[in-house]
Amino acid sequence: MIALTPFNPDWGFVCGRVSTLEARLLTPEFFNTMVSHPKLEDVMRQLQDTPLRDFAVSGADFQDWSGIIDQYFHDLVKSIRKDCPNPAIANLFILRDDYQNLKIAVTGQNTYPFPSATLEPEKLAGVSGGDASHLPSPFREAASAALASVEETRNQQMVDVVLDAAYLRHILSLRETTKSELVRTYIEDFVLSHALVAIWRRYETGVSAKAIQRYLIPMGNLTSTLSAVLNAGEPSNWPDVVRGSIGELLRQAIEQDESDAARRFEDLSTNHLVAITQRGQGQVSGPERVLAYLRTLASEAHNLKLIVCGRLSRIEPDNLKRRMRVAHG
Amino acid sequence: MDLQLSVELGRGLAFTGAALAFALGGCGSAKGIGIASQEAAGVLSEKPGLFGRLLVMVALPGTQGFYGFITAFMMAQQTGLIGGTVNVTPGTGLALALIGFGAGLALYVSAVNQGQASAAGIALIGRREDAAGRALLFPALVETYAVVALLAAILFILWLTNSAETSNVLEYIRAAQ
Repeated sequence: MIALTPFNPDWGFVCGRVSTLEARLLTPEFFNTMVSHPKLEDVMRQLQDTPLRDFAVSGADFQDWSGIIDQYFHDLVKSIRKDCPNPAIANLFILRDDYQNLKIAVTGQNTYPFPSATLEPEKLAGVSGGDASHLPSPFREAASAALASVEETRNQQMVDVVLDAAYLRHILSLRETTKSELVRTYIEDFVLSHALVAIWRRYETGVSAKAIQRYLIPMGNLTSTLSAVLNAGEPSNWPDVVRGSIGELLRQAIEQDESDAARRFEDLSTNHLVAITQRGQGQVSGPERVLAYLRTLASEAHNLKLIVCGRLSRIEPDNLKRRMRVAHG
Repeated sequence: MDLQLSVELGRGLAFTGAALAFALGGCGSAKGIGIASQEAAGVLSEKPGLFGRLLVMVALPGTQGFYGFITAFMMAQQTGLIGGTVNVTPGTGLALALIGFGAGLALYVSAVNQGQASAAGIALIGRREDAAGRALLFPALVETYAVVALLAAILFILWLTNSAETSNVLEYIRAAQ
């Protein structure tokens, strides 16, 4: 069992906030009821009973709710980050948006649809113009590599590979900002599982392992594992080279869902990450408590978006239930 | 030993005991309240209506500071440091210094731990307002040992200072000189 860090009064304020916010988390019953409503209007009515109502503008359509959920999640995480002695814990959940915006900026576009975590639109505008020198590190290096890739290949998929790798390297570097064993384990498993999904998705679209390897490696202490995966060929061989719980989840995903095992692995690994963080709920004041809340909040946002988008696309409730992630409200 | 020197030494040691008692008790309370306050401030930023309930939880670790003060006052009063003739032998003074240190240490540790227990209770109230009564109980249990430390300190001070030997020794020294 991973040990929690000792009581740390510096985290008292944010953990006090988190205590009250935990009371607002949605329960599994809430999601089950929501997914089972026969009419879209009932789903919408139920959404109005959540903290999301403060973010909903009057006359918001059902299609608008996905954006409202994103905004709610992003704003809440950013406001918690302000109170955290170590902002890295919150950054784990919102840095992705900056990298998504960077993906758009390096292709020369000027509209950035994702809410900004650290990179303001003014900074991204420079990247759209082909200059990344004004960005803070490690964004600068990532954007420069992506701009070079655009010049070289003119291939959006390779830009995605470059920036996904840079994002994961950035997340892995956050591990050094904390002594919490639980947070460090979470970061390592997060990066490994996301790197595997990224490789899997590229593999499915026919991008060569060599091209992925060029940008994904090195990846800290995960370099040898990821190199072995890239050299192992078919995903069915991967469980033999990935050790520990992530390797076991790979095996389960391949056995359970042959049609879309990558998605199944994504869900299983997210549930595994939620399970790692749950121990932090028992801490009164420390980074693990905040991590546990934010992880649950992220799963909650995922489930809400899944239901909203799934109901709009007329996906069967049973299918949606299967894809919902564990969110301990 | 010179009588004057003996009384000075006894008085100095008694003062040290009193100082340790209120300093450690006060520092512990300040730290305990600080710990609980941070957690309470976080809860109040989301639920300002809980102020009344949380105030009690935050104030709980403050009692140790008063216990330290009472211990120090008792020492001063019983040894004549306040408005009387100082009649403390070096041995009694040393014993009082150790009582002050022991009581102060117990008060310090209990205050800090009570602050942490209060913080946990505050977190519980933040999540479930109906649990306010139960949340108060756990930090209150920590208080027991601060009260025990105070009682022990008072009893030891009384036993030490009321015993006939203290004044007899001083009488003996006076007579000898």
